[in-house]
Amino acid sequence: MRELLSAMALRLRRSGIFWACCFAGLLIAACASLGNGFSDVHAQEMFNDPLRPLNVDLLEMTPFLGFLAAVAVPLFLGAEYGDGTIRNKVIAGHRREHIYLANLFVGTLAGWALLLCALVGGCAAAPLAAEWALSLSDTLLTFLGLALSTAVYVSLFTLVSMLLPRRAAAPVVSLLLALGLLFAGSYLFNLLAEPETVQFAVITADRFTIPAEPQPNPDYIPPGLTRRLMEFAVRVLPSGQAIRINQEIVPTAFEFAASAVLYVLTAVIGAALFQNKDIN
Amino acid sequence: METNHLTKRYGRTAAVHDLTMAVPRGAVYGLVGRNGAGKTTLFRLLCGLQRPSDGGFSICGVPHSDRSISRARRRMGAVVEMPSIYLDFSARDNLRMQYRVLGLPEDGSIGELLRLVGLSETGEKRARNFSLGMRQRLGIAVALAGGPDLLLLDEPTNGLDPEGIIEMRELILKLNREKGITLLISSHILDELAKVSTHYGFLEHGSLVREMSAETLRAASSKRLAVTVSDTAALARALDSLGVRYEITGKNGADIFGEIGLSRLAEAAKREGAEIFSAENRSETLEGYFMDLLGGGGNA
Repeated sequence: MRELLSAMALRLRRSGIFWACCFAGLLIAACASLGNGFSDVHAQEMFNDPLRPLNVDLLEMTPFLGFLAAVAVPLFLGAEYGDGTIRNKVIAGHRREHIYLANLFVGTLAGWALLLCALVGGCAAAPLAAEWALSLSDTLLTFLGLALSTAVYVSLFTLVSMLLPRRAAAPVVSLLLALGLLFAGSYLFNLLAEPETVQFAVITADRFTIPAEPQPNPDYIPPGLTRRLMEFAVRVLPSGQAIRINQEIVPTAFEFAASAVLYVLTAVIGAALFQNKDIN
Repeated sequence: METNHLTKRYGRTAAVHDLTMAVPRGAVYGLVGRNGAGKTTLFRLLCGLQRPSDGGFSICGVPHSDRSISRARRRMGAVVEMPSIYLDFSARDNLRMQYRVLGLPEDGSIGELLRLVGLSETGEKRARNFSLGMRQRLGIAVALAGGPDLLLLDEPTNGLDPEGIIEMRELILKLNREKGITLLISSHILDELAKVSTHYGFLEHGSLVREMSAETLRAASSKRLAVTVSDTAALARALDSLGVRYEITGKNGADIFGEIGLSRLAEAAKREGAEIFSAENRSETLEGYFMDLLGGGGNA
């Protein structure tokens, strides 16, 4: 196992795909952050709005971290199948679960490096934003939550990449999975954010508007099993966690535990399926 | 290395079926068979890339179902179908990677391996820019990292130019004779295989049709004299009277097996009223033996 980790770490250091993805993460985060920063400055000039704190700009791109991992992990691991080098490890007598886990651990390191690049890129808006508004403990909890949800993404995409040997298929399936997770996370989060009542305005024929009484919101999910399940899903899914962080909700022990369980579960399932997989 | 009733099925199709064979220590074992005969599947099974559906095999005396088969595999190297190398790495970095995979220190032996396969001058050139022959040789160097006792080479001369084929042949002989490595090789180029093999296995539809040593093949492949005559019936009578084994190959052609003097043959034929127009000595090749054994059609 140590030998495999050492070999994969060397490969990661030399991987053009990995460094390209790091650069892309840095650039995208910097552009998104700067775009928000300039728009804040403009809003301040026009409407005297207060500048948003830096942490808001920095965490703006967190829901999209899954996409970076969905590109980087399958391309990095796919080369093992494409070049046939995964065979060298099996022939050298390494156990398959060790090969799987070594790929997962090095992939997780790569995912955290991508996260770091995205966070550094997000700092580009520092001169255009207000001061950091999170306490030190909340900041640390937020970064830990991000690191764990990134690890879950990596574990999911490792599973896809190790079980789909076709080099072209794994990135496509991983991207679709990232898209599906983001859609599910944001859909559930938005539904849960629906207020219980809504205030309608009535526009009469002579253009007078009369505030109406608050009405029950048909999209509101009332407290009960459905709402609890939806809340559970949002807090467990890596995309849901990333959206919550994006909305300045500091993750708690529940999110950390959920990510850890998902990471281990996908790793165990992936390693077990890889055991019996035919390699060409 | 031995297989014992080894079988691999994909759905209902058996790619390898009830295969029992043995590669003696120190041998160069040539595996001969058409496309789809099960050669590559056999290599994949031996390398642990796929699991047998039935039967088994042992490497260095360790059965495949034994947990210590992983350790036994460390004594083996393989190039299956295409060389397993990182295309964006140089030759040296590819070997460095394999040394790490094997947990070996990166010492001077990397340079030695590169010299052995003739790639010591490639510098930082990436494997992506290598010729097919260079990639093949790098694949073998990677397989040789760790000093294996058994080397499996699947079609090592595929796509090589004549010079590359000769270099590959010399490398195989050097590995066998100087390093004492046992080799299991499959190749479409039967004449090349015949130049290096000490043993042969003939595969057809996933089963071993025949297994023999090169000496046995040589003995079985007796020399023959191909003649054209005016009357094959008269020649047959003459050969019967001489007690010589023969085979009529056409209206005016016949193959005569065994040693017989040309003047004696001409005299006997003349007595029966046949005239010999031409005679040519031919010796049976591995290709000829393969065609006789498995019939024409398909590719070897």
